[in-house]
Amino acid sequence: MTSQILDIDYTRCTGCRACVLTCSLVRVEAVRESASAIRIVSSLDQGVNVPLLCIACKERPCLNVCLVNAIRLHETLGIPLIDTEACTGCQLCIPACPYHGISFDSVANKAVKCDLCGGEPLCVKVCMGVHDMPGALHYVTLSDEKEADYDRRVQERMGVYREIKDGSECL
Amino acid sequence: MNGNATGYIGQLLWVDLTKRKLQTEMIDPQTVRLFLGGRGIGARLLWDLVPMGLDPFDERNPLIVMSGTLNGTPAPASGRTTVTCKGPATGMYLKVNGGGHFGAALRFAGYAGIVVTGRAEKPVSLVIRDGKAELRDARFLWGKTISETIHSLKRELGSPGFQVACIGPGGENRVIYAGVMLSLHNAAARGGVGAVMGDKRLKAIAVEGNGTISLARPKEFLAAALKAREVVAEDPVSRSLYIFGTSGGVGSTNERHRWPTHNFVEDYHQHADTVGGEHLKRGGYLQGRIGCSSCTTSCHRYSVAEIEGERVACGGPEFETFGALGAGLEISDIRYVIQGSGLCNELGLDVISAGGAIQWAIESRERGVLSGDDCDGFSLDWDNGPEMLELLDRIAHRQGRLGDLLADGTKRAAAHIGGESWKWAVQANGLEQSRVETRIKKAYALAFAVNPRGPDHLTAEPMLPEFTTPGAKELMDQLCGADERYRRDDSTEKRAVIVRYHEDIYAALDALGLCAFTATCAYTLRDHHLAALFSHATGLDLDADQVMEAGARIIELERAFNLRDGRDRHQDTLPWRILNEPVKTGPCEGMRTSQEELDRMLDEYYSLRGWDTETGRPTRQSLVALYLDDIADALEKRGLL
Repeated sequence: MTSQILDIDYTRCTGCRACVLTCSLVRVEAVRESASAIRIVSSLDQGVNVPLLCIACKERPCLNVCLVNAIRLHETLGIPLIDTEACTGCQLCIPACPYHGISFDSVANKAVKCDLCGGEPLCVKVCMGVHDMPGALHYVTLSDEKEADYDRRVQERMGVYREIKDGSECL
Repeated sequence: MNGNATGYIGQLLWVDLTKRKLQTEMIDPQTVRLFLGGRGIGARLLWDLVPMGLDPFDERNPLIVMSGTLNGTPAPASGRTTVTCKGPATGMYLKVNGGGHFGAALRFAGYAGIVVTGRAEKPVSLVIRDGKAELRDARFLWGKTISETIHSLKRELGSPGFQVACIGPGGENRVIYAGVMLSLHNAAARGGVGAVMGDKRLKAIAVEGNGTISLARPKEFLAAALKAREVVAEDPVSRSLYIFGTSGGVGSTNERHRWPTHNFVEDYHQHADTVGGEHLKRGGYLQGRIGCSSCTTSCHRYSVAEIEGERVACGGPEFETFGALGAGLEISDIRYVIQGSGLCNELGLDVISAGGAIQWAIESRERGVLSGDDCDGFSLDWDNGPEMLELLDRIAHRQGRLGDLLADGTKRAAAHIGGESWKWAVQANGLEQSRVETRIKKAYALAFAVNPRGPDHLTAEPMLPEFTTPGAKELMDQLCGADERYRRDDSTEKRAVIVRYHEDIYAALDALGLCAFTATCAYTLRDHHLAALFSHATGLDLDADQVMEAGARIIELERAFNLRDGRDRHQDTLPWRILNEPVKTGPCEGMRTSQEELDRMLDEYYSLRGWDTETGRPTRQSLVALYLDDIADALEKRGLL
């Protein structure tokens, strides 16, 4: 079985946040970092940037934790989506996500997560503009044989995130 | 919130440090229409606030921090922020411009800009969070380096999300070329802007916000931004800047004997292959790339070098850093340039002037003008990395006779030491020249001479003649015609046309908060791209010609500001060495930019701008044509038109 996923190579992330700003603009027709489904955590003194967003994991704890059933799996895209109308802004889903893939728009009072722009994620398009140079975000088909490597890289990224976050010294 | 016809604009935060008074004021849309944003509005405010003849260290000299109009949006490379004041190094107009995320954060916090006047009694920091601003005691931060300051302040404020602009020991001690750091790695540094901030006892400005930047026509804006990103990304120069950074140009510049070495005595550095951007990557020093807000290119480096167990990371080094702290000092070990670059950032010093000052000191010692106690025990020889690092620290703290002397810049140091040392102080009007071989590259020679802030590359990067990318060729043909003669960088013909274009578009880019590498160097974005982005963002519709006209208006106003303090044609000059000492060896032997050549280019430039060719002064006609009638009136009243 293969599936389309957003693959994140944090080592390529420059921390420019073009993805963050674009994501917000697409969602709310204005720019506000908390309205974006993507966050970048940076440590300037270590030169490291870690993008955080929904990776359409298999466990999907967000589906079960939502009290009003506002998060439902989109079968074709294979990713949970938030029904904004139904979302009460209770924020239970946010700590439930082990990948810190859900953010909270404090202005709209709604949880925000990636919806893959319906299958053509714009963040991938704006990630590292220079042609033929790979950026940090890739929308790819994940085959079974590549899955182990993918899982390892996800764990590595989350490890680096915890390291720079726990230091609370992000410049 | 959306579809607001006055989209961007937003408010200014006025801070009077003497009275500890803070207030806000909406920016008039007409001002935005005329001056586009950041640099332009800063120049207008400076004209309005600074009386004629004001000492840059008078507390009335404002420190104006302006976001660019497109900061915080997905427009390509839209992370540039401008700081404006009357500059201490030159006593003239000064804008500095740096990258990073500070401008975006300022916008998210609800402000377009900050105007700081007065002087605090004790060190303070300005903290802005979601539309609220306060002054806080910063005595505990005084004396700290940039990273210490940022860490301590974030800890005090309890949030890692703040963007911090601050000064280091250099600014505190009013080093005449102290910079303001917009992050640990992003400098806005030339001309002593940090000394003005230090003089006000303003240690830091911390900003955090979750506000909304609304755009007048969000869908159209996004489409224009994506299109512009695509255009920038296609360019081969963008690609090269991503791979090797700005310092990737060191090797080819050196091979063409245009790489100022040994305090501008030579134009070829024998160690350039290991002291430049290519080696940064090859040698494994390059550990990452740092993107300014919404950057398409990420030219900024993250490099690490270890010397005797001491590990130092830096944002950079840039092309200019390799010139000022590398070739200029004949440094043969790249690690010292990396550590020197990191140290300048930590201390809040401008690398170009700091390197220039040390080069001047070495040559002065060599020529016997600087000796004995003046040398403070330093041997002052070429290729001495450890001494360079030690001297940078002494300069920032004004420690010892030599540190204190060099902290005043080469013009004042030469006046103090005397002899003929002014001849090898490679400065004009008090600013040490950027590392460009202006004896050969004539467009740069002209651009540097007329630059309102002194001889440097950050009001125009006229590298157009030498570039062969499709965008550069097309633009060159449009500006100069397809004549191959004009494509030589040592030609003096058509330089005025080339420089005027670069100045105007650069001013527009600075105002919009876009990086110069979107429209110059990587010759990709043109006036119509800027017009579309500006118009869809603000709802103040300007066409392509009007955007270029606004750029010209900014240049004209900056010129008028300097004229009010008496600067005209006489100050449009280059360092003595560039005008009088020809290149001694190599394929460019005998070349220099003579006064006659410069005069010819200046005549052509003034007449293109509609200025008086004899005096280089703007005229009533040129000012009125740009809707600067009130400026014309003010100049006329003083008998300056």
